[in-house]
Amino acid sequence: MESSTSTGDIVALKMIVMMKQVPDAEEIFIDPVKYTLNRSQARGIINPSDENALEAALRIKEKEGGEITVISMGPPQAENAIIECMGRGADRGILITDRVFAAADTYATSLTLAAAVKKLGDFDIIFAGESTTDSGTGHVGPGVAEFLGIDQVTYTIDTRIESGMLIAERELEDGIEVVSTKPPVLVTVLINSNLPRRSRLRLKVDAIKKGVEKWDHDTLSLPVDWVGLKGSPTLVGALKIPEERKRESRPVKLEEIPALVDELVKKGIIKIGEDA
Amino acid sequence: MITEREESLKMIRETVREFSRKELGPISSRVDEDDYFPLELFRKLGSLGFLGITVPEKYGGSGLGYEAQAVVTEELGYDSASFSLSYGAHSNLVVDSIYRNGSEYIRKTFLPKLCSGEMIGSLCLTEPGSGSDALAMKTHARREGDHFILDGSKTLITNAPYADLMLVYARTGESYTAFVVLSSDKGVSKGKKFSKMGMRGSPTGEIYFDRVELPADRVLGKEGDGKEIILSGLNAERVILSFIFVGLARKALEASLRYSMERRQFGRSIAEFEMIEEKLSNMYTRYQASRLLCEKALVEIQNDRMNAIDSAASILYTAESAEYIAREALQIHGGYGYVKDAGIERLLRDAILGQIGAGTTEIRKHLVASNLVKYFRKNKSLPK
Repeated sequence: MESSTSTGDIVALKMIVMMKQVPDAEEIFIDPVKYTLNRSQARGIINPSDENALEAALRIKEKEGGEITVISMGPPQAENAIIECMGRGADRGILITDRVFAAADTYATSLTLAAAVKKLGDFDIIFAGESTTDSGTGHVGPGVAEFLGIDQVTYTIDTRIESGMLIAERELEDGIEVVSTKPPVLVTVLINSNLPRRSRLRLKVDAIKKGVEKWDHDTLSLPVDWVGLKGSPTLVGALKIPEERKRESRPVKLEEIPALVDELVKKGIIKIGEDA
Repeated sequence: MITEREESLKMIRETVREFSRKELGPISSRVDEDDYFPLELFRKLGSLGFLGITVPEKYGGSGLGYEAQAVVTEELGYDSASFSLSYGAHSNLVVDSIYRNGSEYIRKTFLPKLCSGEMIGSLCLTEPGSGSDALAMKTHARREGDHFILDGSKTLITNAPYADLMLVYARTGESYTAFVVLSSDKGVSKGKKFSKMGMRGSPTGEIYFDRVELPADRVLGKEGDGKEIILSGLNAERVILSFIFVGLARKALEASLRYSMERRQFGRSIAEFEMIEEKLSNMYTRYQASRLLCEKALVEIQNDRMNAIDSAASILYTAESAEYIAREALQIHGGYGYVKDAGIERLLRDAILGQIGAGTTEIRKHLVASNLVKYFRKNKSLPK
């Protein structure tokens, strides 16, 4: 690893935070006529677990020093979310935006983000939120690690640096696993694992002056059919809302219960017997 | 409008608005009803960079200008005028003045804590016997060797019950001197907290100084500089505090529009009645005129802190207009407006302070007219 010294101590830690702007779930409402989600009124916010990812990176920066670059893929409006990240303490912001990247699934998104990380050069840790609130697959973090061929630590709730190693606590179903790994590494961070700070006015004003770098398809020079809709193997066949089962109720007297049980067995709603 | 033109000011407005709507708006009626000062929320303003907004970063501030401070004041004032008043008293009257007039020692020692919200500040000018006639103050300090002995009392002091640091004006012989006094200094004691008609939740109280020994390095500026610090400070204060009432007026007008469009009487919305139309149009016109006047004063004060005409004129007109707008808002809301739940009557009670605090309407008129005569005599033309 280029940014490490021979003793294993990391100098000028380089961190990347992958962030997505998502609609604020509090401001999405259901169209009273069409029953579809109306996002038009919703403000764009930083995806909640990405806020935790940024906070995790900022805490390491506070202790160890270093530099944080936020990268995001999305429409031009996502710039606001990057400015907010810089207002919290990220040093640099890059927005990957181009019409040809539109409608990418998690495969094409991971590939595009991995290409952007490669273009950035050396890095030590990539932080990503565990999943987004608007699609919730949790694919992108691990996908980027795979495309880059680096280690990944998922579902983390705490991370720190000790003698050049990244120590991460993973929250698993049956407990907390502590992992020690050597950078470069990608870490996905669980929602609510820390309390994200608010931005500071001065940093935000500086961020506006500094600006967000915009990278398009030309900057990344990826083949057109690797990105966007063309590069996405996922095909959505159809989307259906399951019909609600009809429920009925009627009062039953105590002496009628045996007859009711017989009826339920007959209708196949319940089963009685050893193979039940 | 300048505060809408610049990208960074627009962003600051959005940031404050988001914070204020989420954290201040929901508690604003409790702040009023219980006369409750949300101390932790106030300290949070520090971590966001609002408290030391006009102070350079090396002293813990945000390094921005009066325009940014005005935007914060307006947006907080929209949700809670009293909270905004406490903010203005701390951030402008104390923090900004300490930065502008303080020695390097004073800046380095006190500004970081004032900017972070660890310390809360009060400006102490008014006394039991001197309000509008501020320079008739009785509080005095006399030199004894390498220190000063401060004696006297101050009243109607915003933030006093919570103040850790006070900027105190006192007579030093024939002149006036400003001192930095800590509530922990021996001989400083606090009187009662007043129960006010409006601006409830912004704590107001009394402070007494009984032979308070102050080292010479607690003098703000130089000994005898007090008068200019008072006057320039009052000018900046008037412009910044005007924005509380710009925010309050905006809230009253928005509520009035919403209500008059929804409320139906005689088969149509009351917004269609000519007498309501007259109210809405006057309210809007006076609101916009206030804003423009205040924004002009902001530009002037940024260039010349001794500009008394524009600063007095801006708060004179804005405070009268805010009271008028809040009164009309209450009238439009009828019986519902008179009930506390609607939050409209609070706007009127809060707006009344606008004509009293930071110089009364009467003093402001005197300032505008007397300075205007002076200017015209000298220049034979109006100020630009």
